[in-house]
Amino acid sequence: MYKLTVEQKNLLAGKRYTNRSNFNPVQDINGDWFISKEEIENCTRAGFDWLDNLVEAEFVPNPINNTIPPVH
Amino acid sequence: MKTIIFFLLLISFTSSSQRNAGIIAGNKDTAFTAFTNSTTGNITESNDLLYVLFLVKKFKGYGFWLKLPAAYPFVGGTAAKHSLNLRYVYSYQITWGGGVTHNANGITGNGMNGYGNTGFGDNLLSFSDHHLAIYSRSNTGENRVDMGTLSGNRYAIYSLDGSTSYGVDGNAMQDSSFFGGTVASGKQFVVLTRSANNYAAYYSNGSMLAQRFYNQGSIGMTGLNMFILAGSITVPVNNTPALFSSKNLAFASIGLSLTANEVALYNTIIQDAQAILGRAN
Repeated sequence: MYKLTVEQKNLLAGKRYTNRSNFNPVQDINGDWFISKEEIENCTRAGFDWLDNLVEAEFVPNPINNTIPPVH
Repeated sequence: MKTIIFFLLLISFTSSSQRNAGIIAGNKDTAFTAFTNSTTGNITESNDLLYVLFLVKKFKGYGFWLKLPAAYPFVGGTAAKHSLNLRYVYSYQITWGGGVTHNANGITGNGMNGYGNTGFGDNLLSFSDHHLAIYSRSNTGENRVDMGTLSGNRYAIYSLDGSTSYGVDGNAMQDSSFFGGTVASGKQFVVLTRSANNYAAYYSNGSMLAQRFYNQGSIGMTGLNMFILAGSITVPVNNTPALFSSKNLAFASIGLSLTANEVALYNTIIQDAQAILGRAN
């Protein structure tokens, strides 16, 4: 996953990176924002060259958003 | 020698392609044409065409067509082609979000932010008459949502991992709304269907895994959209994705309830269809 600043996250929110795919910045457990390598590699829209300069960083999923109640 | 082998392979390929073209030309259907000729779809590869034609013919021939307001064949290998709904083409067309990989095997989530929004609200179907289905090609061990909606008082989802497989259907505050069982592999065609307020069933590869008889009474639908490779939730806003799946899915559908016999037949159709593309489990 690739780390974003809040300003960069705001630039991507609601924008498309292909004609049928939207960026989806997500927050990790530390509150940092990230997008995936698939979004960077498959972006075909103009104006997003700056994505190539993003740095890969450790993404720690927020357990609250990724925990499903157990089966009973 | 190499030249001869190449030539034989070329003949073999051409014959198969020509055979497919002949089958397709002799069996064209308006729904097939609408899907494959769509601006977004433009399906041209002969096996892809045969796959779509097979699904259309089987669904119409066996009475599934009217029960499937949304059916996603995930054919063509691109986000745009994988977004199309076989039944209505551009209605309930999927909008992808985050990291989803699209190729000849269908769609694959990244487990972190990738999903698809079908635009199909859960209030479009009756609570006592609905189904969800997915064809999973992954045996991934994870507790995530592969398809559906999640909300405060209403679940209608699939969730499965490598050794157990279960659906959630009904009031989230009731533990028994989770039901399913042990499976040999997460590679399976899963159907979650509800045919009455007090009856839901969960199937893997055409066989029933579990039934649920709890009477849900009258439960209001949330209007959240059905998501693929995630579940839709209401926090912080409606239709926020959560519980991202990393599975590879080759087919999905949303529709009316199915009987046990219909699920068995549906399983056969989907397994045979995936075999056309060489991606059956």
